[in-house]
Amino acid sequence: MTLLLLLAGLVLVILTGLPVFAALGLFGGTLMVVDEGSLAGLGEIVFGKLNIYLLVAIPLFTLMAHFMIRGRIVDDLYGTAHTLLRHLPGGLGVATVAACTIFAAISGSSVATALTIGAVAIPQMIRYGYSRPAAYGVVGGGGTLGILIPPSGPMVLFAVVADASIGQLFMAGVVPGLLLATCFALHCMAAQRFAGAKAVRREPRASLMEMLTALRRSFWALTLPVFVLGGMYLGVFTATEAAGAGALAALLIAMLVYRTLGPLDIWRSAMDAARTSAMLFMILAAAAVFSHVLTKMRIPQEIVTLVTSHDLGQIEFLIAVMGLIFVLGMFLETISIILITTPIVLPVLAALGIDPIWYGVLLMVNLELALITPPVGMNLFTIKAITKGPIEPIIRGVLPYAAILLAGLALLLMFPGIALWLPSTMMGR
Amino acid sequence: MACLCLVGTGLAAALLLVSLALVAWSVMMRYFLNQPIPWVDELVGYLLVGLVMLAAADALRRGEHISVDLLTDRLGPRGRRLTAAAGQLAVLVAGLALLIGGWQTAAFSKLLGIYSTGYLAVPVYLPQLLIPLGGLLLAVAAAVGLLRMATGQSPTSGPAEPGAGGLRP
Repeated sequence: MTLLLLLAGLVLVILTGLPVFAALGLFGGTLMVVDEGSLAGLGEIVFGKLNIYLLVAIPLFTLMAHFMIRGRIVDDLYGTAHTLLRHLPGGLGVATVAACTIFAAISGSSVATALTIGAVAIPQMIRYGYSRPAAYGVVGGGGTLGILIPPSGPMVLFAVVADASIGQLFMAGVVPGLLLATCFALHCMAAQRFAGAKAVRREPRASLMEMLTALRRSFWALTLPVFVLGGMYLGVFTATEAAGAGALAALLIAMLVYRTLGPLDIWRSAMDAARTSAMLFMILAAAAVFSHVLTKMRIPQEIVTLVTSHDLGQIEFLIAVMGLIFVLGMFLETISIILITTPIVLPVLAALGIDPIWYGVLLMVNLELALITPPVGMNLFTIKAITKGPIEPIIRGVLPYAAILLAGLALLLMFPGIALWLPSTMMGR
Repeated sequence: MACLCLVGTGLAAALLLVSLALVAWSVMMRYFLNQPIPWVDELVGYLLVGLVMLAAADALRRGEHISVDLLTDRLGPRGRRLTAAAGQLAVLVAGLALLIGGWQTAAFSKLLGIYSTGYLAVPVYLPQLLIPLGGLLLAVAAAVGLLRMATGQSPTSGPAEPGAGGLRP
């Protein structure tokens, strides 16, 4: 009960439009003063939460993405996907999903995926006769893959808070991510197949030469994710090391192969990555203050008692939590949801014997939904920023993708193996 | 203020590039020469604290900290100015709390003579001083934002980027 009141209060404070980190920090700080009589522990909590080697994976992966974008390594990604897939029904839509999937494996950011791919793909789809909702939907839906397909900033945050293996969580996102991408693509094909007279004209299949040229143009954009993720899978790198090696490789490719990255670009990339990370980690620090107070008030333990006294099973508990997170996802952004809910849920996961990696993947798919469920959905806003039009056709367009994500969430609840199989085969676990 | 923020972010960017070099170097030493560098993990953790604390103020100046503007967007210009001012004020208070709380923590560590438990064994108060420094920068940036608003300007300055926030997840 106390928890529900606290959560409701917190959501209200965040909805006042204060910067999220300040809202969370002030709310947590006030509770701390009420509960403990002083802010004496504040410095130690913040320092302890930021002084974590594993977290540096986030700025390093961000840096890698910046090097690849500013170095123009990823510029041809959409063109390549289009050349390879254009002969399929709904070929442009399928190509957009494919480009989003690969970009997700480079950027670890859903907003960046929707922004980068959408800026090229949306105008082209509309030029070819796709309806606006259809074009917006595929970018909005495909873009959400950014946080599920590794590397993924939100996954690193979850893993650090939950004390789970980042590498295993990354690998657990691969199969569900590819499965969802396939369903997105099938939806694009089916929508065109049954569009009747309104169907978009299909394009001729590309010749072998065209395909090879396209693949060569995007060679590095396609191989770098394989290097980074493969290295982690084979146990060569930890997640932080993979981020460092990936950023260095992207830097070298952009400087030596493409010759597109000058010292000024490197500097700007580092400044951008530093600011983005500061923004994220300030929320992390503020959420730590909040969850410190919750722990002091023994709220997580109360929930464990509540859950065990009602004899809730794994699935019932997960459905309840996913429902709560879905509702939170309509109003809050992904980072705060992860950081607010995870410390509360963790003790229950342990009590019920739920694998935190499985839970992490369920959480990511649910947060993908949060990115496209109104009224607050970052991907909706991103597409609105690209198109500078009204938001209604965007919301209409992402609906089928939201339905697919919901179905995916249900499937993952019923068959955890979809997520857990790949990490179970990792080397050097 | 813009200048101070840029110096902060510049330093943060330098810390990030140093972290990149350290992590990459350490991987190579471990992988090729089987000689991992034992102090890299600890140092990179401290650098991360510095990175966050030095760049947070600039992110504020550029309006890059996430906020949920679902409700405030529907307010009139006056209401929006009011919530923007409340936002700067909230950051001012949060910055001061970091300044004071962080200073106390560092002072306490120095008093007790606590050293880090890692390979480097540095006096813990040194990296801990980054917290009050970041709090100070944030508080100053927020105060400047409020002053800008008092003179009728927008609280944020600096280029507004398309999609705001760059590679935010």
